[in-house]
Amino acid sequence: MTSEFPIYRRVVRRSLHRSRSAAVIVALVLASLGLAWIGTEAVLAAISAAPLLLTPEQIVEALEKPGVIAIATAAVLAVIGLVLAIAPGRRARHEIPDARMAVIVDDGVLAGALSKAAVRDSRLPESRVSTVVSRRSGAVTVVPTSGTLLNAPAITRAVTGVVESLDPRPQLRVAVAVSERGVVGS
Amino acid sequence: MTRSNRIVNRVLLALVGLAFLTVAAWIANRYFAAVDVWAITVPETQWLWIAASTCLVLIVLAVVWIATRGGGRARTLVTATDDEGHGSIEARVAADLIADDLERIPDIVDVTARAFRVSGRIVLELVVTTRRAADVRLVVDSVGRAVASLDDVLATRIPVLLHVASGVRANLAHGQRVR
Repeated sequence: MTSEFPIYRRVVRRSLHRSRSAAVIVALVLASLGLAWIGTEAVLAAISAAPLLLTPEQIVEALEKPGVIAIATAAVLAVIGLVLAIAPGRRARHEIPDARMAVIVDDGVLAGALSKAAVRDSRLPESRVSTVVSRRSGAVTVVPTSGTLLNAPAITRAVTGVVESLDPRPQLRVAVAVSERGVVGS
Repeated sequence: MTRSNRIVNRVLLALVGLAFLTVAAWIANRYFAAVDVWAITVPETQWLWIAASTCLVLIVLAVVWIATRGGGRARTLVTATDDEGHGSIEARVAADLIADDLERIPDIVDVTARAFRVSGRIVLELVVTTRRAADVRLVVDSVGRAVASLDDVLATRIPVLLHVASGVRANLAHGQRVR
């Protein structure tokens, strides 16, 4: 994107990806609770007081004679942590090039815009047109009125026109599907 | 758009994941005994105190990390100093100016503005909530015009991030009837 502010690249990248702050906060809260419990048991054992749940001896014993459930739980938590650390964490948003601003559009809004174009061209009620936008593709589904013909190429042109006017990044390939079975009514 | 360090966030998640992986490997090894690792012995009092202090330090670090998330907000958008004094404009004022300009665009339900400090620069983040089926080109162009008049008012050009969002309110708002 050409623009007057080099900072936009950073701003857009941060808007298109999750910060993982929520995941980190959950992980750290859970880890803190676990550590707080272990710490408390350690202090209670050190001052020879009664344990909350288990004494350190019992914890060690449990670790030395584990069950399959313990292994599976630890493995699942490990996989969750590693996946969250490595996965790209993209948000369902697209960037739209603009000379003055950095522009980010939710995929739901893009889907609405494509639906609107299809509704305008087909003159069908809004409820008959639905659109799903993913990272690289947009799928518009139109349900015609029984006994009437829909001009599918014209709808495709209208929808493609909207995509071209917006030029979302990553680029969207749109497909218009006319449902085989129509419905009765206006 | 907060200042949270995303790489550190991911490193922390990887560390937590690796810690659990180590625990899983350790207890799986106890179960199937593939490799000979040393056994954990019942700790002595001295080690109990060390374990408790380590836990306390880690908890404090975790709480500090959690409490410092989401920084980078700025109240002031522009400050200017000239012979007559020192003036500043808050982000809220910019939001009001933009919202006034966009009031007549039917597709726009709501406009909010926040200022963020990103690598030393103030960035104005505009979140524009639209109706479900909005003409996005029209919305973007309208906001562009509003920002152009904001440039005139501020007599300077600040970086603007426009986020066109579909909110809960947008879904509740009645869609325009199109014939």
